[in-house]
Amino acid sequence: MTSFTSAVLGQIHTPVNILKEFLQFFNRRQKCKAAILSWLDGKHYYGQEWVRITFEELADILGYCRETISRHLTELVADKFVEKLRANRFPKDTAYKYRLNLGWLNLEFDEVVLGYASKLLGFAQYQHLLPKVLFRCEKIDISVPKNSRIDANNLATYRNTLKPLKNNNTAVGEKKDEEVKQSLYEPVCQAPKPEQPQITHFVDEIEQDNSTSEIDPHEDPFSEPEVEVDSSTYKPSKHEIAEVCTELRRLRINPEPCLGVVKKYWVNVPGAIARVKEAIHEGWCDNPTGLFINSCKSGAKSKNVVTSDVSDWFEWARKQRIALAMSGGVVYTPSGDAVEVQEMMRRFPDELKE
Amino acid sequence: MIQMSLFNEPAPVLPVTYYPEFLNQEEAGVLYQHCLGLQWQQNQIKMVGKTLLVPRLECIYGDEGCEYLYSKSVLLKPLPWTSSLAELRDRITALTGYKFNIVIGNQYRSGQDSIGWHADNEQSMGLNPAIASVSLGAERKFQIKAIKGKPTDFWLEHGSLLIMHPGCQSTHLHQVPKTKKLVSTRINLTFRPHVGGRK
Repeated sequence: MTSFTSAVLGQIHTPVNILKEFLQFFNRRQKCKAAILSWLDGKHYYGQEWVRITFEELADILGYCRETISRHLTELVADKFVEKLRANRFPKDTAYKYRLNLGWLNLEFDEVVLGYASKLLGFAQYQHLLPKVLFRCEKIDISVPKNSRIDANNLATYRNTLKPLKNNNTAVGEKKDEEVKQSLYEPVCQAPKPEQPQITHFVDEIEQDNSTSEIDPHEDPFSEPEVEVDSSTYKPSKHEIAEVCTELRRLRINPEPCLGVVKKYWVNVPGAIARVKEAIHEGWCDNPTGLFINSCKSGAKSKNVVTSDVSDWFEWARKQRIALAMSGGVVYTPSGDAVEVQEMMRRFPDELKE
Repeated sequence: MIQMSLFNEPAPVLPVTYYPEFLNQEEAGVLYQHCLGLQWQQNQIKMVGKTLLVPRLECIYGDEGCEYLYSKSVLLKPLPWTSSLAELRDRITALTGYKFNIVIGNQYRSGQDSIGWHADNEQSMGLNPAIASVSLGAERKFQIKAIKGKPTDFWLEHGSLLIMHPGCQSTHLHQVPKTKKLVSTRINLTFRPHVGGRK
């Protein structure tokens, strides 16, 4: 298919996608609303005039949480973008059915008028002509994420592409987390608006995944200290903090109250994360956030954290064929024995080093 | 050559055998130079509707007809064995008793080239394949872990051979993670069986 007709936008030529078109109307804001509108638009295009759907179902499709969908859809209805009626599919049906308010949209969102207004005069002078929703957020100037294009022609692709958003971004009651994450990703995605990082962060995540350097939630990142830093002077970059925040979220730890501790006790963070992982694995951790903060402050580490001494010894032992592999606090000898690393260090002390 | 088996210890058991000096330095150097001249390409994989380049170069050689489905989306046709690769294949077979029909090469150009956690469980290799991995060039960390287990780190040396025994791909995952250390090119040749094709 080289082109398709959008109910709202008319003839669309690929690779233009409807989400992008909607976002142009919204000055690249209100992505959740744009997603809702484009989803409805797709339904209309395929012949469905009224679309019965619940917040939960739409949240699942678009990759947002129910509350987000509820809020934005309610606002769309209030702003007359969308009409809604009781579905009444069955006697006690409490769901609603929705459709785009095409007449109103075409009237108020004439591309020429809007483009002319925004380009020459700015939005402010045309506020009386434009829907309120455009002014809920302050105007920003951002570039479109390079990989954010979503093919509205292919609903399956569209759904699949959007679904990871739910995992990466949205969870009930995690708004503050999102804000923290958003601020951390600012240098990368240049998207300071609340909804923008949902797309751009998703893109970042995909790139990470795709690089097949998959960051595994079970991976012990401390099995080898890849880069040693001077803990007394080293200041973590935003990217490093973002990685830690991601790791903390995987451990069901809210990063926000931990940020200060993470920055202050940066050198203890790996050990603290490992300790929390170990505690969860052993089943005695009721409060991972508290354990993490305490471990950062106290410097307490997991039993399996490899110190630089151990790392140095193992490097030497490996070259001497004393040990072949290491897993946490255990090393494998050439004969296949798994021996505690401390025991091996005692058996083959540093004096043997050349 | 010393065979360093990891099977004797009851727990935790790793279904791999590592031969750090499978090839001597001279042999490994010659083979490394030969491998640099293989037909490397950067393949693409599809993930959530996007097509992306894998962070490494790859090549495939093997018996005729042993086509390999890459990442469940790209069908790779093997090039004919080179004499050096065939000789290496026979040498591994003589050592281990396992037979191989194809070899897939991975070239990690820098520390940023990597491969994530995975198991080599393509159906074309049959059930519970044994896979032999020869490492050439720069030393890289190789991690293997039981599914939901903790990783064990190996550092695969120039000229080393790692055998992943039958069953390993069902129970374990492995990866070559990215590293921030400055490392040069590493070439990895993974010899695999194939249920189709003919010699």
